[in-house]
Amino acid sequence: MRARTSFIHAADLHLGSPLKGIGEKDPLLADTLRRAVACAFDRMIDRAIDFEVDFVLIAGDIFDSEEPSYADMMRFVDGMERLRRAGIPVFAVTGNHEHSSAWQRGFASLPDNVQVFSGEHTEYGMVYRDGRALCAIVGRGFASGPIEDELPAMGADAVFRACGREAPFAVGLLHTGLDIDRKIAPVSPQALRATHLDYWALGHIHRRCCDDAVDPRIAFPGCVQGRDTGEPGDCGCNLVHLEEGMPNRVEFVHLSPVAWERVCVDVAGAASVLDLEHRIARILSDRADALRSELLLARVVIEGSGGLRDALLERGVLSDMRERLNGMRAGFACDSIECRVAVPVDRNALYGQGMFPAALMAGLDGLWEDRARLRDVLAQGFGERGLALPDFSDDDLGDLFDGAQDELLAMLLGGRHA
Amino acid sequence: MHDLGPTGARDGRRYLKSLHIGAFGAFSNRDIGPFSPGLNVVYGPNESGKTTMRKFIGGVLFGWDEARGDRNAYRPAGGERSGSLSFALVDDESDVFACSRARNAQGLLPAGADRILGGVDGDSYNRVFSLDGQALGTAKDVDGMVDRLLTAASGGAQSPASVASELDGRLKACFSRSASNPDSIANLQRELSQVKAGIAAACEEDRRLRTHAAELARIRESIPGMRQAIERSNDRIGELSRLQHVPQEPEDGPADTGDGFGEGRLPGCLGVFGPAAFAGAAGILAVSGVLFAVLAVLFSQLWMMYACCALLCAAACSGIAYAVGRRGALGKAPRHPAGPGARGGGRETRFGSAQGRTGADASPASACREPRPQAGPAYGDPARADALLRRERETRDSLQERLIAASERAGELGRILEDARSSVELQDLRDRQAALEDRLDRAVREYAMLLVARQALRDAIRIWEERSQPAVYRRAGGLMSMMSVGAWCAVVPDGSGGVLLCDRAGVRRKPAELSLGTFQQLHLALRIALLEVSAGIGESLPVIADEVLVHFDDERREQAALALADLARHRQVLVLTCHSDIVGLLRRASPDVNAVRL
Repeated sequence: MRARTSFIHAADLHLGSPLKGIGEKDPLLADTLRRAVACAFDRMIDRAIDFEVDFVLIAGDIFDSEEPSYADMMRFVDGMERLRRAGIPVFAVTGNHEHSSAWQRGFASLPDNVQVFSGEHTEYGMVYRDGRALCAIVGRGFASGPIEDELPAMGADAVFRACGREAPFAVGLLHTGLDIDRKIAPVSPQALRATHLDYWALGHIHRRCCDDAVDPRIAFPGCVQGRDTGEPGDCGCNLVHLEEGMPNRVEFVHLSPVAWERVCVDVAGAASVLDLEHRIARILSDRADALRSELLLARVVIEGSGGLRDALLERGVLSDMRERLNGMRAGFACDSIECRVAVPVDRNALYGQGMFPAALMAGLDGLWEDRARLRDVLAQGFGERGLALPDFSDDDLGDLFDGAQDELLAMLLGGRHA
Repeated sequence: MHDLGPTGARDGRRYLKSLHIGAFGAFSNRDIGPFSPGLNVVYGPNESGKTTMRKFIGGVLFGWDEARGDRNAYRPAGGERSGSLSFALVDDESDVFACSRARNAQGLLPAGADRILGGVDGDSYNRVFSLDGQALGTAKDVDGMVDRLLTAASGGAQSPASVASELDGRLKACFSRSASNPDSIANLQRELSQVKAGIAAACEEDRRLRTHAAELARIRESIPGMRQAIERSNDRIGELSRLQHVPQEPEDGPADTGDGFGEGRLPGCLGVFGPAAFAGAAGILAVSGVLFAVLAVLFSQLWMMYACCALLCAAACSGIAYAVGRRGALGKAPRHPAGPGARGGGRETRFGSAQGRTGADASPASACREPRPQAGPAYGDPARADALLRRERETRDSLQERLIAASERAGELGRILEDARSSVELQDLRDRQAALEDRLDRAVREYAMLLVARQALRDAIRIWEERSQPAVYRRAGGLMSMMSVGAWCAVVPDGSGGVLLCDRAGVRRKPAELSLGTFQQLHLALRIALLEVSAGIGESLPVIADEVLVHFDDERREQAALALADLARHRQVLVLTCHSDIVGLLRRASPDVNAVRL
């Protein structure tokens, strides 16, 4: 009979992290948002127990900081204690957010079913079932040094030798940017595959991905709860099934109570602000229905070009719209509504008109072509105010430039500014 | 090039061919035209509808005026304003496109007809295209006039200079500390700093929880030991209490109290024997008596029977003597721990000295090091035994007090830590920090965007001044020279968005310093120059000059007519007048002038 095992692979819990980017927290949503990350963690524990997994792997960034709060630490300890009572061992590594071991000497000791691998060297563990070795675990906590140096000790043969016995399966556990984020403990997928482990449980990349859809051997489960629009959609962990001689099977286990989304709505065709509001509500409702998370938290951007621009930019219009949308209690809420509606003008025609707007278009083109001068202008403006200049990427500069163009045309050609 | 619009009208420059007043002011169902693509003069006596016609054209194109104050909105009695304008292609006058307006809310009809406006808005039309002799004479906002005019033809709402000024104001507001500007960078930075201080304090408080948790763990570890220590102390107290009642056997004979009749002693010479001797004798006599009784029965000897009785009696006496001696020793042994004054009468408890530690110890664990009795010689001093028992009780009481204190402290720490588990204060502060950082990020980006906008505007103004503005001023100067017959020869910028007029002597004068006629000529010259330089803007819209020459002298009027005729080569011009001599003037300036009589 073929040996089998199943386990939970989670990562990037970030206990203690706030949901970022919330401009004005709706008091009705405050509690849901405050508890979102902790709720996702509790659900992970519930699922591990419900699925009766053989073990749980946590691939780093358990906490959001080196010094987790007492409440966060005890939540984690309580979760581990629940797994201990269910007879489920846990193997974890530290991540770049809490790589020192200080938090482990914090408020309370972890239960004896939890093994946290050191960041200083490779460590090993073994999972047993009915007294027999089932799965060897190898891993190393986050350290800035190269992982490649440790790989010889992480090969399947080396793992079994270190454990003193063989087992049907061997699984690796690392917090790494792989070749996606080379700033954080990079290692190549090829090098990991060369270890011939059955599965590499990785953490750090906050989106779910794997090396092979048919037989995934290297996987990131993504974070358990998105914290801003950069971590959109439903989040959770992986339920991994290994079976001798069969391809690996990885299922997504949804955990997040809140799903972020950036929703762009075109103003075209909207006859009025109210009409636009109804359109936004319909779009958000449809998006919320497609998600498993209980709440869609949307950052709405109104785009396009049209005559509603002035009306939308009237003081209080967007905040009132946001309040009404949030008051619908329909499974969605708006974190913010931003108006990026362009002035309804034929910009190409402006060039040929021979008047000031043509000079303006020429000035804008010249400034964009000379981006070094553009950065100098920003540096000077920030320096005069004693402000640190943000590290604007080329995309950021493009956004700034487009915004400046829209703003100038609106002010010169008519219409109110934001 | 324009695509075929939704109206289906063909591409190309158009001109106003005719108009139909449905209902407007005092007029209804009235047709005026036809007009030509070039210079037109519309003349008629006062009250014939010239100004009404001008207002009607502006109303159809840009919306009827709302009645405000003394403004004449030209509402017809008992009806709504309505009418249409017919535009024909310059290249094909048979191709006519009509646009109309009924209610303002409906806009210019049909849909898409606003393409005829060519990007010009109502304000710009009224300032540049629809010239009114009265408005030309208005001196207000003279300094901003040129700036506005220079941007007006493109539909501008503000001059570049005023936009630049507004941008400066917004940039400054980014760092306002006023409470009415909560999203200024300065205010957000200040609020963020306060929140971070709050987080630091909350983290410090959270760190104290670590100390509490460690203390609680230590207390919980020590409590079982303390309980055991108390139990052992209680055992020793019991033992000490029992041993105080046991009489001491004298090692060297009974103690001599000096009265010859010691307590518990037998009288006389029998007192020399101890209770043990009498016990032994009683035993021997009893056995002998029994033996003789057996012999007496066997041998039927009376003397043996007598001997048996005597022996048994002697055994009984010995037993009584033993009992007497024993009772005497017990009766003098103290049953309760005595106070310091008690004396044991020289009796000693067969007990080793107990070296208990009664001193208080701060550490609960060290209190577990309870006193251990040592085997040793028996005490001979009851006072010492009392002292030991007292010390042991004090030790036990002290342990009990420490156990109570430890339990209370454990309870207190447990409550603190339990509350801390559900505390959201730190999380809320972190949430606030995240929200503030997001707002600050947006405020910083807004500031950066405004910096880019201001720089782009400065560059545009420089380009405008280098390229386009001179063309307008040059043409305006030429027109002024023509209209003033050389009295004024140049229009130059004054460096702050206004203009100066130069005479042939080189003297520069501000517009406010000019005569009304010269001022109006300057105004007209600038507008004509602007319209000529911006040839592509609103190319289908008629330029309407309503009695603009009334304040000019004959010579300047003639020259102005030539200027209008010159403009009419590029745009359709409608000159409205009630003066027949102006009609003649225009005919001389342009033989092709189209005259329409109202």
